[in-house]
Amino acid sequence: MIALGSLAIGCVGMGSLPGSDPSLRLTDLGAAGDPARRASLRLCIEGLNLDEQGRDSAALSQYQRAIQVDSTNPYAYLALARHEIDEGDPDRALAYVDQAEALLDAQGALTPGVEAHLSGLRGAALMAQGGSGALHLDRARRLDPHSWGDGHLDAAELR
Amino acid sequence: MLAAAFVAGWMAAGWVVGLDRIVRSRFEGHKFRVPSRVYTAPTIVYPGLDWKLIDLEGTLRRLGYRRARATKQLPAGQYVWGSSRARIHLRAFDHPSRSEPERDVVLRLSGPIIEEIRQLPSGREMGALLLQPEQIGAYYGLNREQRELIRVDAIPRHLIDAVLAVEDQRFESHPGIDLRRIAGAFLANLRAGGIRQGASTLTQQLVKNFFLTPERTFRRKAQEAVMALLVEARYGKREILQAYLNEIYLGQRGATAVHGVGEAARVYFGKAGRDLTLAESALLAAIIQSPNGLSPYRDPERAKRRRDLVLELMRKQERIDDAEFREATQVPIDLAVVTPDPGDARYFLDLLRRQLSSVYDSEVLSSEGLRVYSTLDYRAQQLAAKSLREGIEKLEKNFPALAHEDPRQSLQGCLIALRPQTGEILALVGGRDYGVSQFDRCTQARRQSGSVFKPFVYIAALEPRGSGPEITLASFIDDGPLEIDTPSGPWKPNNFDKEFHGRVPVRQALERSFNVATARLAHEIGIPRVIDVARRLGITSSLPDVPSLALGTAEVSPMEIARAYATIANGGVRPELQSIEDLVDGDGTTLERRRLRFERVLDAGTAYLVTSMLEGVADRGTAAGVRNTGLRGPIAAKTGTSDDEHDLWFVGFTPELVAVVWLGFDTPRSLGIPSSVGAMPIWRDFVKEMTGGRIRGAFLKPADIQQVDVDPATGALALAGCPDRRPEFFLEGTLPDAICPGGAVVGRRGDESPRIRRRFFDWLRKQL
Repeated sequence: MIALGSLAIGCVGMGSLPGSDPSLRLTDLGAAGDPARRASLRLCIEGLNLDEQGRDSAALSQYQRAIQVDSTNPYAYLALARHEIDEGDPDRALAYVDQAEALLDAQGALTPGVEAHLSGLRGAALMAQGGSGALHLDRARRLDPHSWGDGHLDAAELR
Repeated sequence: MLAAAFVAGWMAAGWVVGLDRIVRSRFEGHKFRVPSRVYTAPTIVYPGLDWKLIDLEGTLRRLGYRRARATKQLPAGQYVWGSSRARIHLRAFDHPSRSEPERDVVLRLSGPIIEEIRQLPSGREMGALLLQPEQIGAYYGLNREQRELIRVDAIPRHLIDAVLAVEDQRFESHPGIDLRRIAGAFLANLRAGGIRQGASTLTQQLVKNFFLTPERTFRRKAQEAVMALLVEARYGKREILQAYLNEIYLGQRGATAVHGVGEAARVYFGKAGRDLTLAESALLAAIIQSPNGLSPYRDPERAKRRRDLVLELMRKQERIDDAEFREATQVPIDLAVVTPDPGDARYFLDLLRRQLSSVYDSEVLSSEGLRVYSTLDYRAQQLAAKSLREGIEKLEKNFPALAHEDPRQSLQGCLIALRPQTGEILALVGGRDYGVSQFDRCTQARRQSGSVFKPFVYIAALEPRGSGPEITLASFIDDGPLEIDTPSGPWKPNNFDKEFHGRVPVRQALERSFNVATARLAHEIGIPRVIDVARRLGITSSLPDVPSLALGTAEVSPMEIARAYATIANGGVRPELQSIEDLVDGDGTTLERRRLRFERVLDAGTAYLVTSMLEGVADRGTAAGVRNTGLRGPIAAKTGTSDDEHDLWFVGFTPELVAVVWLGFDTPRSLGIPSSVGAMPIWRDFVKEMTGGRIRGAFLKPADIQQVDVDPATGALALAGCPDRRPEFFLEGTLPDAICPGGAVVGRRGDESPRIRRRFFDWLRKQL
């Protein structure tokens, strides 16, 4: 009985099968959280829209405002990390990935969908630094082949 | 005769050539001195926000918005406020990263809460609104001229018409001097028996202001006339008009002189020059003759009469029609609110100046019209200054020995507030009165930190190392007598209450700020490790390798303490302090753009453990009074009193805010009160006003922190049958070996004997 119980517990601890969770999209989170979090997410989404239009400076401003409204919103740092990779600043991107991961971890929000983006962004930043990011990118592809199949996360794919 | 005439002619020609040289060099080389301005971070409004808490209406008024009656047509810059609905016609504004367009919005209100924001006329729901940043100061030159340059094509036609109507109606046709006007003035003055009417054109006025000192001699008048002719010969009417409208003196705002219509529009009406109405334009034109004598603030009736005179002239000169005249004369004088001091931001302005001076010298800052968009939160700054000022005054009233007649020797303080995730400085008040002392005690003072240094000792002991951390939160440490040999003789620390408390739980040692237990712990793990932690958290001041460092004998600045605690609040990620978001030059080109920077310097688990200990300080320990006025939500805090009570500290943080309060005399002397009486109330008042008493969020537990029950008496794992239990947090793999019932007291790690049951329960707990 104990052995069966242990086996059951072990299976629960393994988590979901890779790739079975949907990709993380910020628009899916829109209604979650308190007013500050919701407002912050909307600002992030507006920023991603602006990034998609090529309005980099305006997009950055929206992400900063998202943090101003809710500095504990991990998705704002995730969006910033994606933005900085596109802007060619992998050092900052990595810092934002770390900050996002710390907040996601503390908030119990490390789902496979978001893990894919963390791995992918980290991998892309490391590659841009000239380092070894292949393993991270590979993990991202396995977790979320739709978003990370091409090794890059578009603004629309995060939005 | 002929020769004399020839010589006179040559001399006259030489004189004219000389004047022409002056005109060219000064007109073309002339640079308007435009002081650099500093702005706050923009206010962001969103559904769910408490509009009363953030004083939204007050913000609108400071930005020059006028309250109107309910109306279908609401012009930009006006708002209507009802009990369940507010409508604001937001003005467009420039911002370095993204300009905001004009927007007409409706806010649905439910009591103090904004339920919904919709844009008119589409009805589109909006997630957030940005209000333009507020100016908090400027860097002036010696002349203290305040100016906002405006291009002539951005100046409303009716403003130009108003100025020309009253000052120079034939500007567009005369060559620089107006002979008809000169003749008319001559006759009028002759009839009056004195100077009653001037005859200077705009060009002559410009020449007088640009080039010449204000003498009133015939020679000067002649020079002025000739130079005006030369200016008109060389430069176009639009150029001359632009120069005039940016140069003209239009009154005083305190100690600063208002120059140019752009600045006047901002000062008098709280709006950009391009947004001036006909009535407002006429008022500005009206006061040119005597800006201080005709000041609408000083004598609105007189100003209105003069304004209506200008409108009458405009009608007579057919610059406006009858309908426009009637409408404009019926507009009451409605001026912008004089912007109140946002809580002495001058310390913050000085900090920015010091930071900018490495790249931009004083001359550039006072003349090039840079725009500095800072991180300062207007409301936070206002509340910080108020809390500090009122808190100190209350202390002086309750403890008269703290009061001093000479303000230069009075009790001083500092309050600094940061956003821990980003390092943004939200408020900085470096003293109780900038006018008395400009010394910034937040950034420039170095004072003994006292007990606010102690958490660094516990971090050093809790951090996981190769063989595991020295202690856990279940550990007990000895608060018995201690003697440490030092080069200057034995050091025997004592507790605040002069008592020794025996073996005490680690939590209690910090909650009650026991000196002896902390000093013993620091001595056992080594002061260099404590110094290493302090440096990683952001302390840059000198930290001597002496046993007393553990009790805060090193001198540090409040800014450093704020940054160190921000690192703890941010889960071990140290933010770089930020005071500037963007820096823009006079043409609107972005010179610098702030990028957030942070670095992980402490593992998240250890940061959480220390946060939990500091929550205990606020809930049960020396900072237990922090909730006395009803503050609810997560608070972590530490009190600090230095040797002989020369310095009182209170450091506290929530999930979104870190604030440090320091009190003391510039020439150190005892305050005679603990920091829980001196500094804590100031912190509490500030945070309560900022949050409305309800602190948002939670200190979130990282995944590698385990929560289990322990026996309070021994620190052993509390299993079924243990007589007492309390929850406690542990880094993964550091659960106590001892179990209750029947286990040993948990001391430092490695002191306990392993038990096989412990290993099984460890594994079992991990699976759960």
